[in-house]
Amino acid sequence: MSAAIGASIPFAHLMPRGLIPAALAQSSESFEIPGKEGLVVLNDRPVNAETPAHLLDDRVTSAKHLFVRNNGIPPVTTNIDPDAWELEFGGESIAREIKMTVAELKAQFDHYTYQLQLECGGNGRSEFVPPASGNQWSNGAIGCPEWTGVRLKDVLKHVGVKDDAVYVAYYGADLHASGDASKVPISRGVPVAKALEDETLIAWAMNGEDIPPMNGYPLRLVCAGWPGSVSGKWLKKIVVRNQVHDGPKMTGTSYRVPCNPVAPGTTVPDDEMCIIESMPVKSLVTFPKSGITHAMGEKLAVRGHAWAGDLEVAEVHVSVDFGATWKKAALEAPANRFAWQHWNAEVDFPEIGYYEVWARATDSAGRAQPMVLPGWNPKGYLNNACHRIAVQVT
Amino acid sequence: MRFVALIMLALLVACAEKDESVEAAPEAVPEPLAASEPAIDPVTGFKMTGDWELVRGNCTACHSAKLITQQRGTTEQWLAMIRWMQKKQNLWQFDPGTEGRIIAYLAENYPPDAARRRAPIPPDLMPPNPYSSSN
Repeated sequence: MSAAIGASIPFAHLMPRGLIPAALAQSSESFEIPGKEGLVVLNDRPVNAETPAHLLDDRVTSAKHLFVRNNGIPPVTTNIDPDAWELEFGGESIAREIKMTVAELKAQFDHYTYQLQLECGGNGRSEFVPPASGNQWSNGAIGCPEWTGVRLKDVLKHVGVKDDAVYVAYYGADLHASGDASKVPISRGVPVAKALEDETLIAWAMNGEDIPPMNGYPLRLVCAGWPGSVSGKWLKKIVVRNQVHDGPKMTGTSYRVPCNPVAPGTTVPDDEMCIIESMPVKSLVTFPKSGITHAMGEKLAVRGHAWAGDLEVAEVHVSVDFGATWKKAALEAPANRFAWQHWNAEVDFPEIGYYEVWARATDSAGRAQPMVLPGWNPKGYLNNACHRIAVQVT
Repeated sequence: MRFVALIMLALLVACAEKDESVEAAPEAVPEPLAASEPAIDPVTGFKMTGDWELVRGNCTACHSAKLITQQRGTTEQWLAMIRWMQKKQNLWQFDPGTEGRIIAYLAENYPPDAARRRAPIPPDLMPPNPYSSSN
């Protein structure tokens, strides 16, 4: 346990009591995820941890502040030679079933670096009423680091894809949570068109360094704008399928929402659940941290990021009166497609008292974030309700 | 109006006679909604579990069961409501055992409802409250 997990737990009081591991309950040993700082641990087995909004203030998310999402047990990669790591190609619609090492990928294809946002499909699940099972993410299963690798489309062109290709999916080196080596913890994918986007990378570096162990070292897919689960970590195999991929967590209710809207609490048949594609428009207030006291008469500078899945963010507005009035924030263009966009604004408070600063982003198709939980769904995905911070003006 | 008055009178009589008449009334017992959910009494709307008949007998003399079933409360809140009714609304005194059973039924079946469309900002992200005595 201590090998996999190792610094202090800054938000220990937020840990659901039932999830504190027995090993920790029996000792005073602190709980730590190597290389991570300030994350809220939602689950230790498998390890899942999110980043408080104020620690996501950096324009490019640092390794220590990128959330951790696991369906299974990450492979031990401490003493491996990353350049010798092999990536296998297969599936009905692949032309050649070959293997390539990371060194070969690096040598044979052009390198690209993009800032790409990754967000867990279940980010925001904790607000679901009736509740949805799974890790109870609040807002912090989002990050936008810089990724370096080769384009999946360049590699697939080299390997060869048949005309009947429908879906491109991955397999990773992580173990099933049960420890059963014959079971695959997760294997998801995307339609060919999404896989062939310029920004879909087979990446070996994050922010110019090795990818953190918990985020996929030494090789992973980054397929931004869709649920993070399409961006396979510890990447071992890419399959090109002649059908919609049917690996674990592709089928049933996983990463799916009702094809048509349902009333909260509805039991939805599996065949009425549709695969999530682009994530919805969303934003965060990353500065200041919620809970500040602010002097009356002084303007308050607020800032954060906004993103919109496959689309761009067109506008961000802020409100200090629960949406009665909105003020347009300054919004920057993205560093590249699928990078979150930075916004900032100054707000005034009319009198002393309790306020909340709400941020609301609108995407390039005119869809804005709702102020309440949107479309309830059985597994608690796609909550893009406005984020807000609390301010006491004195 | 007269019909309603008659029902009220009947209920008052029922209460005055305590539980006998209540228990004597034969009623169709509906199927539960789910295995874990108690059936709902079609007349009162009470959850038919535990001491529900005791509650029906003592709590529906002056007001309908809906005043209860729409309400939520902790043990303390339900007790406070009973004390208020005893003080202001002519509710009779209970022996401690009966009172405990009534409160237990209410607190267990009609507890504070966590369901909301959007919860407040969590306590650890709140600023100091100037009106709080702890600040």
